[in-house]
Amino acid sequence: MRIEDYQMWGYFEWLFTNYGLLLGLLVAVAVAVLGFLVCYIVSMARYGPSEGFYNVTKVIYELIARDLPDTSMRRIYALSKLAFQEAIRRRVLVVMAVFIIGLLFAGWFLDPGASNVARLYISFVMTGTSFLVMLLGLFLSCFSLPADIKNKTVQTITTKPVRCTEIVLGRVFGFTAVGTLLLVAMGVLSYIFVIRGIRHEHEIKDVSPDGRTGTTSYDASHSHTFEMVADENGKFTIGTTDEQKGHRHVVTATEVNGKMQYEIGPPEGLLAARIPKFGKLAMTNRDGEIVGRGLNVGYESEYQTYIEGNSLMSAVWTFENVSARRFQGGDTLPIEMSLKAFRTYKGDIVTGVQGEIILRNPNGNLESERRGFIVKEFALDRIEIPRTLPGFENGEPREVDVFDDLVDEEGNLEVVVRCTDAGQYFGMAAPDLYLREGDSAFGWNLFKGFLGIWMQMVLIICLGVMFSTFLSGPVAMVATLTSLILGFFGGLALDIATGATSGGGPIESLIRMPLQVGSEVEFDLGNPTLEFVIQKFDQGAMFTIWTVFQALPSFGQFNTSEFVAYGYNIFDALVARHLTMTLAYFLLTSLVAYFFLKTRELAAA
Amino acid sequence: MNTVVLRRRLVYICAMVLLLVPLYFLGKPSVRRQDGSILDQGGALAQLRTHYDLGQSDLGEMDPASESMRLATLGLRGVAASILWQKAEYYKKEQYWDRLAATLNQIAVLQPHFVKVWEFQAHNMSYNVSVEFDDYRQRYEWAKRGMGYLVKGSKYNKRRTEMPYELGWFFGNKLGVADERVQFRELFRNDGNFHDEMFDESGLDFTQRAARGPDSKPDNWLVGSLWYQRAYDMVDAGSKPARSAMMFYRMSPQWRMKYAEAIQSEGILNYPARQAWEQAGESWFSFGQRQIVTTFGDTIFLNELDIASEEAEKQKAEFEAFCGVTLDRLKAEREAKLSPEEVAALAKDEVDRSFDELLLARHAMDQMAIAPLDIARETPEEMRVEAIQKANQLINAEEKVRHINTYRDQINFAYWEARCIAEQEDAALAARTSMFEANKLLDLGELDAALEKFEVAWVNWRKLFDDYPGMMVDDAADDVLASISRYRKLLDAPDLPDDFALGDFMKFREIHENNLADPALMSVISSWPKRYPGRNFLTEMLRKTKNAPTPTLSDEPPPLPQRGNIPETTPETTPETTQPGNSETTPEAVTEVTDSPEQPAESETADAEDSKSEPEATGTEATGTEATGTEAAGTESTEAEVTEPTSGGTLKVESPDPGDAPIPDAPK
Repeated sequence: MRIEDYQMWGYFEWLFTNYGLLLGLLVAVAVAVLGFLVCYIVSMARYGPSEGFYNVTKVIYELIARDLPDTSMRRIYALSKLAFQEAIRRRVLVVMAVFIIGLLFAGWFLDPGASNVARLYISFVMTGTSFLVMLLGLFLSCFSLPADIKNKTVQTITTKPVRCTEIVLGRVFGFTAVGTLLLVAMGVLSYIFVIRGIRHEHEIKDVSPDGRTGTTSYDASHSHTFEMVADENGKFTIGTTDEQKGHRHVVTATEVNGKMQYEIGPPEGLLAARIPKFGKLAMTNRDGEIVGRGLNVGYESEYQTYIEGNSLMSAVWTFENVSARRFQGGDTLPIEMSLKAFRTYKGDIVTGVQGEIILRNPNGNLESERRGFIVKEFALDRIEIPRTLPGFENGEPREVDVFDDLVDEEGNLEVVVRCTDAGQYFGMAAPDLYLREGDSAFGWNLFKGFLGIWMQMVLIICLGVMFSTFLSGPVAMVATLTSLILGFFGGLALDIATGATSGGGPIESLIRMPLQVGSEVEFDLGNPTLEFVIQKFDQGAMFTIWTVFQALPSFGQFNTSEFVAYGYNIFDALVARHLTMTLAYFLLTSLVAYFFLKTRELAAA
Repeated sequence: MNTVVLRRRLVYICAMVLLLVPLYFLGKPSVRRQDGSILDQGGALAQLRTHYDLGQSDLGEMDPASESMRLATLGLRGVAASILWQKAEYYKKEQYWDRLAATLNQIAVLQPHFVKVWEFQAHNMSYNVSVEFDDYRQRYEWAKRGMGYLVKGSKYNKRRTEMPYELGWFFGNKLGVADERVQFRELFRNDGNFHDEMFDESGLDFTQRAARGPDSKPDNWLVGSLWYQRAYDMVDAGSKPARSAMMFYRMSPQWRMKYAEAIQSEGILNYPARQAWEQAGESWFSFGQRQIVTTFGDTIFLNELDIASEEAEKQKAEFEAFCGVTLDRLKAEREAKLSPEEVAALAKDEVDRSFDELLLARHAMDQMAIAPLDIARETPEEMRVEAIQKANQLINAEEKVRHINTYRDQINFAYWEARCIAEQEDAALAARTSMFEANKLLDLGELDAALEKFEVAWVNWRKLFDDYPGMMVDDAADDVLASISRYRKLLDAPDLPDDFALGDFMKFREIHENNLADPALMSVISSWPKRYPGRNFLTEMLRKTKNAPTPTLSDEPPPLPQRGNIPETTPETTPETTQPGNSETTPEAVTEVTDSPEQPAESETADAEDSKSEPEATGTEATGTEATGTEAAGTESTEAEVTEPTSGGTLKVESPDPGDAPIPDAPK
């Protein structure tokens, strides 16, 4: 799993430092100004400049002076209830049936021999749920209002003292309630499915004569070896297995009639919700100077960069706000890492590439001893650093305390990693090493993951209701679907809009294709004026695309299922950020929907 | 209005029912008995399906998941598979291994009868993904995943030999040749769960006697050999071979030899090794008895070289006797044009010629070459028809010898044949055992005992090299050189003693590695004992190269000597190599390059060993092989023309007149 930098931002860091609030306000202002202008132009064309202006401002005035203050929660509830009942009448429960069938037959498609079954199962249920509820939201929200308008049933509502705000909010809340209900059911079923999916049992196959070690039977495509620990009587009564496919088992032994009987517990470690504390990564080059990134050893993906073994190259993580209380009292400092090894020669195949880890005070005077480790790829390697350990102060050996000596006054701590095998390399990215603050409950993490899906659904319902206030059902669905697709897969379009992908804008690439001119070749039509015009037109188109993308919710961002699958606690700041964005889009789309509904002549429809 | 609608609907329903009747008879499925025999042929469509093997059940096992996926994609499974393929590529690039494996399963479920997918992605997992892990145990797990994938594919495609063929390759090559081969072989031997899983999935019992090594545990080479054997059984039952006949059938015996080599390298040198070589030899002999249809269109047996050569000699004698006067006249005319030096060079036996004489002889042979048909056309008119007939018979006989040689040379048949015999010799066992023990003793610091063992080993190696000179240029010789290097350090002397038993061998290796070895002698190194009994290869080579001038580089490289047994490859044969090395190439290897079934090359670094080409980069299955037997690689293609020295002149062999070459029986 890859955790991106922007996912690690704190809530206020996102809101203020990284312009989350500013961007939101800009979008709101842009939409308001654009909406006002468009409405004014349309109104002006129909009623003339002054009456047109009057009409537009009247609508705004009515929103502020009447509709908003007089919006009744009771009526919203009644309309929501209606929307809810309508949705149930439209057999939305079919979605539930599809989900259950999907779960029943999932075993056909999922490989129980995967290296981490829980990861596979969680990804499956969350992706399936996400698709289903989004489709549900799409169909529910787009067709309801247009159908009411078409059947004139809406007139039975509008003739009553119901405000447009209430109609819009009633729909949104009603459909959201249906979706939420289904999502809760799906969440519970998913949880049961995952728990049942990962459950497996082993039996004892062999035990050494002294009862200290042994092996388990081969079940669920793996077996374990285990090692028992002696109790105060010198008997080996408890132990753990080795880690296979991302989990371990606890082994207990009891003496019955003079014979030891062993029992193997359920798998542990598959359903985790680790709370990581990430740091900022810097690397040193071969001269020992700090540089941004390490070396590229030839992989296409540049996510991880590499440091050379037995050289001055090192990876330096700086962690902020480190204190003993963050680590369950601070008896140890747990570090987890997942580095990559790259060999330039065969070397010692059996042992693996070796490295060392050093804890260092950012002032550079104090550092811990070097702790060696052997790289463990594509898996988490946990190192427990004791609070006090041998170290050095200005080169002189002394005992150091991790939290008192190695963390500076500002709460910063540096962790340095080096590769010690000459000619071999370590690869890493910033999230590949973190301090483990503790664990959250898996169920709570799963809930937060489903909350992300819920927010996606709400956004779709908001967009669908908004579009359905001025478009017919099918067109509203296409419009919402387009927003959804652009929100999910808009990366390429955004790259084109920002010029990150070469080949020019829509007109230029349309000309390049029949002329078979590659995207990297200079655009030359032999007519500079024509080229200038085309490129200016393209710039305009690309700016429009960029603006639209900024206004659209980025649906992919809300999907946090990877966190759950890979056993990382979803950051509260991230959840809060997503909730804020959802609320912002809800307000924005509701306002737009209100204006469209307000200006629509429902009786004439 | 309602009546009209009702009437229209009734008409539609009747039309549908009527159309269903012929559809039923056309599409009625065939009915089979429990033993699989057909009880009812079914409708025309079912018969066509059966005829062309298009029915799902004809292709292989049917999977409910696959079928439901096919239906769920509404006919767009090709599109879905393509999207998944792209996803798989992305996952591979970004190293999301679990997701890659899951996506590959989904692709396979969508298109279970697309054989290339199974081959390609299995290779991807076993070779490309596995090397991304630093821990050899994880590498082994991914190698197994690729194998499991192939086994799954074989269930859906029960008549395709590609999967068992590839499995044979994976079990042998991946586990037995990789840098981690020692660890892989050990892990495999003890991986009872994997053996059981494979048995459950494929029905192939890894614990059967034929698959067990000296420790009574399954050996990867022998298991690989069994997979090949399964592919052969499928061909016997009517399937098509996955490769050309020769390359297809050579693999099982070849893997038995690899097994023998592997256990020798692990220090199992006595009876088990001898028995392994004996069985490999028998297997190689059986392979030689297999009928092979060549790309020239005729059918050969690799074991019938002697018979075919005798036949050619007989035909030649008959033809020369029949055209005696004309032949003498033509020879005399051409001989008169030769220089005295060329005549002298021609008079010598090939292996006795110096380098200059080789060139002269080659030129002279070109001059003297007279095609049998040219001779026949020069005969008096009353003899001409019969002469042409005899000329054609001669051409056919010589063509056949040439084809057998061409095919034998592609896979170093003679070398491996000789090797199987040589390795069973007492000298071979003594040489290997002594050398192994000497190295062990040296490791333990018992220097005197090691020295003693080394001495014994050198004497035996010398005897073996004298009897089987082909072994001087293979892996065994490399091992000997490595041990000599240790021996030299042990002696702590700048030079080896004068009476060092392998002194000549060392000189030869130096000559050979500097590319100064006599090409004529090198061309017959594998078949030397048979062709020149009583003559010592090393002595001849050192004699010939003692005063040999160092070849100078010129624009035109000197031509190699040509004889009937000198290897030739032709464009049509597109020779294949032993799929050596853990090449990272894809299973789509379309180019089959000259294949000397040599010890596959192993690279120094783990990453280079399992090099990482993109799956699209369809490569050959052969990288880095060296022709140890020397008869295969680097030979010229001279399909159209082969010159054969005769006592006084040369017959130029050209394509025969149209006529059917007799298909021979298997040699007894």
